[in-house]
Amino acid sequence: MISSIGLTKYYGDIKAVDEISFEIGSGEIIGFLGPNGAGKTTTMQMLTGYLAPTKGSANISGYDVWKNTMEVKKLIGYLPENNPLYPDMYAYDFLVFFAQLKGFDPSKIREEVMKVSEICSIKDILGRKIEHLSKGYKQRVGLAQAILGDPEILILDEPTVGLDPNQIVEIRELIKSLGKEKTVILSTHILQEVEQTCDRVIIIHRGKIVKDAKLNELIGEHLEFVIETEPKLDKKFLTPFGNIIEEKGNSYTISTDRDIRRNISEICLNNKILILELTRRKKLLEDIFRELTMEEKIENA
Amino acid sequence: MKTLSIVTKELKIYFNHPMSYIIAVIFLLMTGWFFSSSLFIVKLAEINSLLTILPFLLLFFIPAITMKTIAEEKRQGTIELILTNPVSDSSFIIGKYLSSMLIMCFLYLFTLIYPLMLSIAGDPDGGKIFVSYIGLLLLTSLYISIGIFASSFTKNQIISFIVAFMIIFIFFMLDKVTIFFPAQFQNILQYLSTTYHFNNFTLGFIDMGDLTYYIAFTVLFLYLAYYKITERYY
Repeated sequence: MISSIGLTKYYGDIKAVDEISFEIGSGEIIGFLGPNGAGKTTTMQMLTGYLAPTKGSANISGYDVWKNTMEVKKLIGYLPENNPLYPDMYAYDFLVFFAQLKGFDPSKIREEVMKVSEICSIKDILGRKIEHLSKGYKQRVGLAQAILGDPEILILDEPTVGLDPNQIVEIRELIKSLGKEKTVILSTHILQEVEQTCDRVIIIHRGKIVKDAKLNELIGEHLEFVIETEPKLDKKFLTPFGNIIEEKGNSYTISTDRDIRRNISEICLNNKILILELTRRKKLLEDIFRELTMEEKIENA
Repeated sequence: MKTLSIVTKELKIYFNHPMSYIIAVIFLLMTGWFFSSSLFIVKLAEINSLLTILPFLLLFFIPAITMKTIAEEKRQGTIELILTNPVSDSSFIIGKYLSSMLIMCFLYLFTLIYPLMLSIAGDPDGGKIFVSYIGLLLLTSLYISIGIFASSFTKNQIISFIVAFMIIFIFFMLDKVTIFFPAQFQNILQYLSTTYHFNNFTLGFIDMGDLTYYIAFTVLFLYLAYYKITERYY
């Protein structure tokens, strides 16, 4: 559905995005993750056809983004960074304006605006000036604009920035429900958001993709086990499974990529050792993210 | 069609804002003053004194109207919203140009009351006034395209205003400084000057050269603005 091949963007001499390639299938919810300034926004702007890449190409549903920009624009609903709106416009007029730009038949505009307002629950505030709306409602108006015309692809650049915790949950639920029928690319630096809404994560750092994996796989391949035994288990039994990160009294913490509970119990049974604790701890996305985006820094320094 | 939607949106935003009416009132007060002073003091049934001062008044008014056209869209980030919808960059610029033209036409509409009053008080030359208004629209068109061009360079409305003001000021002053230049440059400077061409209209002449001048420069500055916003493709 969406494929990017070696997307590269220079701003002057600065390489903002460096050879980014990925494939996104229909119906996926992708979390586009990275520290500030990693190149998320630039990549999204290139996918929407707003910016042209210095090198590389992108293809959306069979259309080349820079040869058939108009076709591509019709397929994408986009919520840019910081949710830009016209403060002096009424919410209803705002949505009507964008429905017109998307080429709706004048007789169907009202119906379409009502439909997206229903989905985003903003029917009650359509008659108000945008500048008088709360941040949460503004965000909904921005989202309503993005889903006008039922686009196949939604690209959302930091959709929950600056909202209060309740609003964040509401917007996330909304995105999740939209993601049932659409392909969603969501950029954020809030890791919980990705854990709760996305199927797959692409982590970029300094303009490069450092990880592209399904969320459960990504978390699955980073497991930690805490093992406490009596008497103390010899290290030599554990080292084949992974790295021992912590040793405290009779307990070990070991980092591994597979489930080793069976193997451990077997060893203990054979050697007549009592198991006091054997817990699997999922590593948080936060740790993985830090690992991936910090490593590079040290390498480069 | 999409250009039309942009024009409608611009006008909605413009007329939703109280500042627009303040500008309109100031404009009418000033034009009214210059109109009535010639009528009551000199006792002449013509709008020439108003017409000679207009290129100078517009030097302030038009940059004030156009300063936000693109700069504000850039500052708010809404330019990205518009241009990621199926809209071409050219209809964006043309929409901005047409909406500014319509706003100015709205202001000029009220000034029609002056020739109307003259026709009650005396016997003004209707044809001359008609041609003057054509000239006024062409002059406005050039000023607006310069204003939009200045607005495409920055996110800051104040900078946009100042740049537009300076460019228009240069065009405005050219025929007034010709005597300081050698003879062979004088014709060129005079040709480039906006007021020189405008004066021909106020005298009641429609000249192809004057028409070409206004249209060519309007297109040039709009193209430069277009070039500026499509810079992101390179």
